[in-house]
Amino acid sequence: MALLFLAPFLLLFVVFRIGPVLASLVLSFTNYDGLSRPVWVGAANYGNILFGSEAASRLFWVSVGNTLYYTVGELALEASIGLALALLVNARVLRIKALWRSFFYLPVITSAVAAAMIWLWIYNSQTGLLNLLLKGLGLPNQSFLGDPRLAMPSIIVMAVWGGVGWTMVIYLAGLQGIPAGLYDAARIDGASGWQQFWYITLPQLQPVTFFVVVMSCISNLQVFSQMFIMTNGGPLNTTISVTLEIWLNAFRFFRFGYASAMSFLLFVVIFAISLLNNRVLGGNREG
Amino acid sequence: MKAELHPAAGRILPKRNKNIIVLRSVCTFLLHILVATLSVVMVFPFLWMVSSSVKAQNELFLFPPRLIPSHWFFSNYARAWQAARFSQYFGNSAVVAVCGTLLTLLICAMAAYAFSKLYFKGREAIFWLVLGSQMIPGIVSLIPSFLVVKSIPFAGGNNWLGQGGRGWLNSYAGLIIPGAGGAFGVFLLRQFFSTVPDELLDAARIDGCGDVGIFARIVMPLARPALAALSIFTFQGYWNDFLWPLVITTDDRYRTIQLGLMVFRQRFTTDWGPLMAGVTIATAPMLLVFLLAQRYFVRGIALTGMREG
Repeated sequence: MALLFLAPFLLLFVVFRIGPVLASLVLSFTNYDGLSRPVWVGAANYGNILFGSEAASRLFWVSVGNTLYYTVGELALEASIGLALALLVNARVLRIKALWRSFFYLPVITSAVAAAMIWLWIYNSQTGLLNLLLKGLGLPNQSFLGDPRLAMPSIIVMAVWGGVGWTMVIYLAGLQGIPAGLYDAARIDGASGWQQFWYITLPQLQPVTFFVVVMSCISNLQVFSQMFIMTNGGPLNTTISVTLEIWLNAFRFFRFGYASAMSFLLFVVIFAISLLNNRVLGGNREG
Repeated sequence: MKAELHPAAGRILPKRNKNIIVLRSVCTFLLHILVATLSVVMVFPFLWMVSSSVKAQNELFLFPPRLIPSHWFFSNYARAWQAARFSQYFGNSAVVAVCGTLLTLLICAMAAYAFSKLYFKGREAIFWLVLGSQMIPGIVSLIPSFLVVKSIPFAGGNNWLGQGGRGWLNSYAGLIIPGAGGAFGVFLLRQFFSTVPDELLDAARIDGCGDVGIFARIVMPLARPALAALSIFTFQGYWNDFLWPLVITTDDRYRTIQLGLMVFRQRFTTDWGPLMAGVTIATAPMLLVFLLAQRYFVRGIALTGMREG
């Protein structure tokens, strides 16, 4: 009986979850174009990716650098702004909290593609909203997505807009879990608001912060749609991400083995971060 | 805001404390101004999207920009809807998101029922494996999943070995089925099913009700709040997904709305009015779901810590 209830799930689980991990490990040791038979090449793909001197390997390391830049930059902004928003919305005297919370959360439910389209228009180098603003202030026109120095920061700003509502909700749950008695005791001891934040709120939120950092790391390390739609990796490869590299190699150049090796490397990094998360939080998923 | 005062303090305490109360109301007022300003910043891109979608081409480039157009130009929506099979994309997304959500609910609920109410060998071990699989990032399964979907036996002209045809590429099945068995859904529902008392199920069993009857008539109706939360996240996942449909569809007849937006962008490169109308249409269903069910969203996120890519 139990098998009857489990069968559909287990089938999908094995075929599309567990199986692919092993399959991508096996594929990563082959050359495979999707048509002819895969050819076993040992660890050659890994060697070429990590230590190769050809352009492809250099591009991989560029994409690693870009992905790290994006991951850390987006994360730092999103976590700090998310915490600030949570503190504001949590303030006892604030009215219509649900409304403000909804406003901040709205971008989270928007698809990456729709968000990218909206921001393409806002960033537009001739008549985008931001350039109209700059014009109003008498400042020179900027090509936000065409300038190698500005492209990645522009994408990060958009991603922070899209994700900060999630961080806020997680921090709000964390704030509501801090025992009120701690603040009462601190007030009796004469602690100022700033001291209460520094010595009670922040330390009490430490597990939440850790959770936010890990979850954002995992999703940021796989960033794809924003770059694919807004810049396609350019200008001068400054926004090419690891996942975009994987997609290009697999579905443009049909180098499935090579792309699988890259995706397996990314998997190992993300899996290690997840394990660290479980170790520190002790399997507690409540954030 | 910082110091606690007794509610009656204002009436009986001397003047100096009255000043503190005035100061506190000023602080409260400033806090509301600050939060409102930040809200406007967060919502403004949406307002700008809607505003641009009803502007005529010449007004889009006007300086200084205006939020409320002088002339409402609704024909952008008609152009967006008719152009480049947009209605087809929208319909495909609706089919995929609705069917995908129903299928996910059924598959995850059945598995969750087995994991919480049925006893079999290795139950805990398998459940931990399922939980652990959440640490597998989607990207690692992308290429093998694509190859599997391409080689489904007997589908899309394939032989029994899964060769010769296109399998589930360019099909609703390929868009719906691979994502329908999420570990997250099983976890969420199992937590909920565990709270249904075993005595209730035993009573039903004594009355001659089998497992299928118990599942369909007792457990599922009781789990309505959890099912609601899961269906919202699942719907959002299917509606907003981009990478998977991008990989497995090349045929316009099966492309979803997110891909449609991309096709759109290539077509209306500088025609931002119809483009923003298209983005508004593509975003509207999620906004509607959010407005109707926002308490489930926020509670669900806080409960599970789910993070959308």
